[in-house]
Amino acid sequence: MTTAVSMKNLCFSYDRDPVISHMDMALEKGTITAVLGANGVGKTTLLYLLLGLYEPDRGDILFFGKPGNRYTRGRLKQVIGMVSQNDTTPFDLRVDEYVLLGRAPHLGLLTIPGTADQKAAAAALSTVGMAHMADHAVTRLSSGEKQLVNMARSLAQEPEILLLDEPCSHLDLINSRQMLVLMKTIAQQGKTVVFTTHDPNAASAVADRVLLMKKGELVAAGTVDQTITSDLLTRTYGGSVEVIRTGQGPFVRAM
Amino acid sequence: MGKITGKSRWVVLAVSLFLLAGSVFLGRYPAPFITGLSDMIANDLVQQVVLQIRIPRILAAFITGMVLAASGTVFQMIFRNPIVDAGFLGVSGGAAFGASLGIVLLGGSVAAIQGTAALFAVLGLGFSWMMAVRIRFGDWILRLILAGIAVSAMFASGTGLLKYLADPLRELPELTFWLLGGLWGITWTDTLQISAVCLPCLVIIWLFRWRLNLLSMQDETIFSLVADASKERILLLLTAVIATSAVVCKAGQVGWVGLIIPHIARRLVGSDAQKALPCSLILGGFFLLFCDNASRTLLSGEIPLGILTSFIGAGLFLGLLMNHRLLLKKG
Repeated sequence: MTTAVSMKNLCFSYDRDPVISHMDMALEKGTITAVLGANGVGKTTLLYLLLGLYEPDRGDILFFGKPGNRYTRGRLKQVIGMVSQNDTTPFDLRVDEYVLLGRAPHLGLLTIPGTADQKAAAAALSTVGMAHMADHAVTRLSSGEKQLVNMARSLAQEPEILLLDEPCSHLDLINSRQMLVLMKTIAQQGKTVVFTTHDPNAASAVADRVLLMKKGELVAAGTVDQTITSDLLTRTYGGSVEVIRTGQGPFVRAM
Repeated sequence: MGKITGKSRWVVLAVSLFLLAGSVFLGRYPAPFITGLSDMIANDLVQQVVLQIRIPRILAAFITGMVLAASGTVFQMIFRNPIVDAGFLGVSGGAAFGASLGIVLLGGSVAAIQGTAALFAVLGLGFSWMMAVRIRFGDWILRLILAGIAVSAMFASGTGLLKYLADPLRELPELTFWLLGGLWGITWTDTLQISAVCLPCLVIIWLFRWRLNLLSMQDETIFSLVADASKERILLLLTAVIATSAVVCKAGQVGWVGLIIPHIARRLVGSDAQKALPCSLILGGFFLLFCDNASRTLLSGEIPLGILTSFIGAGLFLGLLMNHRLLLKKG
């Protein structure tokens, strides 16, 4: 298998307050990785480090064997994309115009998107099941609809590695399920997905690999069966957690 | 919100040319309001007035409107804030202070007023930028806006002090009229000077029209889509400030155009800057031309342009607010 992302001895701190310490990790191409932990432990920080928005204090991040700085900035935007929380614009662009912005890394500095870009954006919108909303103002969508449209924008970007920050946080039960199915579909197409969540059930539903983060340390990393255990989750969240094994995978609840 | 077709482009061009040409027939010489074609053909003095005063002024008004509207669009989108214009960032405040300095302390020559206005407009941006870097509160956009408000307030107090020091008979009227804005003294030289600076700036902004949408996103989203957003932001902000200070040098303080015109453009053609920016350019040009035509035609004396743009702009702004359409357009 090809390694899409390698983190080697990765360290990052805010004003001497360590958030990530000596993290070593390899994420395979076409897999889904869930970054799981309580609020404020540095899950989003890890995504920002992968994106290149933050510089690590120490250590390296490699994408397909090459450090980020060996890619041109433009090429790197084709390799890695991100949907952040509450990702939006104050201007009421139409949904199709908004999704089209995802094509930016594939365009020259002064190039206006053409028919091929519009087709790619329309296809991305169809993939998330929002084609019927193409002419709606993006500022008037519900939180769940916005999340799906942001996902479509990232799909239009066609990145090899997709970072999703709390993708299910604003979604109802059905939309949350749809988002998880969508992540699986994307991974089956060979894309590497890394998402943060504080919900172990969402992680166990789709993840090939789970990283359990606690403030400043990596509690554990491995498959769902290896990581979604009462002991590790109790250590991760700092409170008693029960894991019930069912025929459809583990079910987690706080005690 | 229909598509801009080839046919509608021709209609816009034809209407634009008609309105520009129609403005040539408006004025108060040789008679109030309308100047007949026969007068223009028969009377040499009328010809001189039209060729040497009206036409350069009409062109200057149109360019000034385009610049203020385009800069307003740039500021609003880059600062992700639909209610900012050049008044933020200390640009207008700096220009007003610079011009006041030129009038009160540097003799009041045209070069002194224009030079100091341009210098302090750029310094206003520079101060705002430096302060924003040092503020330890909020994100970059909020810091820059807070710094701009503080810098504008400092320049406003400096302008107030200069008004207090100005000779009430000789300098204060000139200072007051400049602060109220107007195009009364515009010559071909002025128009060509404005054009030489502003037209390249407008071309740059127009070329980046689609990318303005990208720059209105959240920082982390911009980072994941744009190779070097900081450079694009700096280029567009500097371009907008240079163009704004070039027109403010000649026209004085002309408020509300940069705030209200981008809103109206977005209402007409949608928020995608690829369409809204060209619409803003045309609307801004005609809004200022309309106000300037009224300014030089309605009364025997000149009505300061800034008074008209503020009066009409504020009315339109309130109208949009009361219709709940300032930020959100019905889908």
